[in-house]
Amino acid sequence: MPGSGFIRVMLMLKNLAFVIATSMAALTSLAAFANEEREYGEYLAGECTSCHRDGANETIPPIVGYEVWAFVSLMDTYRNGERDNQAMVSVAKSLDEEQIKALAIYFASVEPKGN
Amino acid sequence: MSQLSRRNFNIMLGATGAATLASTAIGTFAYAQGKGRVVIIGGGAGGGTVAHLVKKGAPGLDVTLVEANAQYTSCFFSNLYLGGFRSFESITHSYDGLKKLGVNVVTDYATGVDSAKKTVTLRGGATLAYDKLVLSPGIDFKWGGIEGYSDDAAQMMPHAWKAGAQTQVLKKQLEAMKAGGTVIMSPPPNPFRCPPGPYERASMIASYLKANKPGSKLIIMDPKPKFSKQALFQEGWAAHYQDIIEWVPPDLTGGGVKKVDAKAMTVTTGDGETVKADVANIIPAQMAGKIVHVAGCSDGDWCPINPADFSSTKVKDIYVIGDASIAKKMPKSGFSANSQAKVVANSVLAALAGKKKFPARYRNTCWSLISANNGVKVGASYKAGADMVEVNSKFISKTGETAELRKQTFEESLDWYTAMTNEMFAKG
Ligand SMILES: Cc1cc2nc3c(=O)[nH]c(=O)nc-3n(C[C@H](O)[C@H](O)[C@H](O)COP(=O)(O)OP(=O)(O)OC[C@H]3O[C@@H](n4cnc5c(N)ncnc54)[C@H](O)[C@@H]3O)c2cc1C
Ligand code: HEC
Repeated sequence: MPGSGFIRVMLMLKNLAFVIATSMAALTSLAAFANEEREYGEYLAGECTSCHRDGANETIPPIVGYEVWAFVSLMDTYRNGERDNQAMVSVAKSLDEEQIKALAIYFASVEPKGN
Repeated sequence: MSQLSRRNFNIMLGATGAATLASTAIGTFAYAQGKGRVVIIGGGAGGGTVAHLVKKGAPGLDVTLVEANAQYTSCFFSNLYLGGFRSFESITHSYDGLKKLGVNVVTDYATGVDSAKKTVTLRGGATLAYDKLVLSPGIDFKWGGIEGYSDDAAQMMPHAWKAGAQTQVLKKQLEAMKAGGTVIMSPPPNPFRCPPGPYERASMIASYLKANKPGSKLIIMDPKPKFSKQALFQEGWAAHYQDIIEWVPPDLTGGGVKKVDAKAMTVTTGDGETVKADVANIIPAQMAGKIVHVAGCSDGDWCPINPADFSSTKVKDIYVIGDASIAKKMPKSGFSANSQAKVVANSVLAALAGKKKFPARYRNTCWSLISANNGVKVGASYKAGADMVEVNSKFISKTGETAELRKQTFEESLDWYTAMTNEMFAKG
């Protein structure tokens, strides 16, 4: 992970600013909530990684590294009929909003390997 | 397909994301503290995946994978090897990735389980203690359903339903067969591993015969009146293998093949008709791999499980996944075994490494190749019901689809194969 040390420092600074703006207790509960959501996303992602892998660039595309909104709207294309791949329609329709958000947060947090 | 921009890691998610990442680092540390011994028997679709995910989820756990063979040749895509669409090497995998991850891979055959002492004994003499035991041994055959068919007879009339040497025997026999020869296939009775498997195999053998052995025939003497993806296969057979494949339902044979003579290369049907074959692919009835019976987990041929996490309903601290389990509506497939493995890994990590246990979700998709670039699929999503795995929703390819869609479906299966075997063997 080149530059991950720098990123971590940046994240910590950002965190710190956030601490000043909110109460310590609020941060703790938010962190716990966010962590839980990502952990849930990681678990749910197990269903995706039977088909999707990072580094692939073919019929089943990699799904890491999308921004959360982009990921959610891609999932929507399979729920609203814009895209009709049967396997993905089945996947997308079996998930509720909260699960899709957890997945989006998890996959957004995974650094793409790059090709 | 609309293209949305992919972002790089160094773009912030905002405060929520920051908190997520910060606390994840702490979370990972906590899991690494996991203590305990996890033993997994069978390094296939189910067992390989559990070993990978448990070790990755909690490196502190002592994870041992007991597998009889030094390499794994997958049944999935072994039909494509028969058809000439895949090499044998490409369906054979090593355990190096799992070893590198820190899984203790033991090449030995598990012979005993003492569920009171919580130990497993190996043919080589070693004894392994466990806190949680996962059994994913796949299938064994029920010899005796077809008179004259045995492990020995299978050297001449291969089943090729456990991939490896058997698949190569079948391939060599097809290659050695004269043009205008007769191949006889005897599919197994229900339930068996990979419901569309015999019919994909028939398609792949026919594809090979069409290109290489003109005038040859493939007769399928089925003990079952109907089979998986039947309309799709029969549509494809009519289009591509009209003069090659003949599928014979059981009412025309008195229930299919009942007897074989491997030396004479003849099969005899329930009606008493004897037919000579140049190549005979006899796939016997199946049951769960032996170790689950030894462990006391089975009820008849297969193992009842709790649908919430595939723990055995009969023996504490043991999970049974993959072909060996009774998952009812969920077919015995590599995809299913891999899916069940994820729920089991979550359950084991919750028990031994303080991870949160989430509600079970299961999925299956089975692709089949009918002819070059002509793939079809069937799949479903499942949930844990009160006493069995229940279907959420399902889908299947349609007859009459465009060649373009069929090609895409085939190509999906190539990506799936890589993704799933990467996961089973911690590769990539
Ligand atoms: C021709 C064919 C085509 C198929 N195609 C597909 C497909 O396209 N897609 C799909 O999803 N599925 C497919 N399948 C089904 C798939 O192969 C199985 O469902 C899947 O392998 C089951 O996984 P498992 O973990 O239960 O068993 P396996 O993958 O068979 O693994 C079991 C392992 O346990 C080992 N073992 C057993 N007993 C012991 C013991 N006592 N000690 C040590 N080791 C032991 C075995 O050596 C084996 O390696 C196909 C099957 C066949 C036969
Ligand atoms: C059975 C195989 C399979 C599974 C399981 C699966 N997918 Fe997919 N996915 C596909 C295929 C095939 C496509 C490409 C479909 C298309 O052409 O529209 C796809 C496409 C996508 C896309 C669009 C990507 C892009 O760049 O356009 C997203 C997002 C996605 N999947 C998310 C998921 C998530 C999240 C999961 C798990 C909850 C998942 N998938 C599980 C097969 C699968």
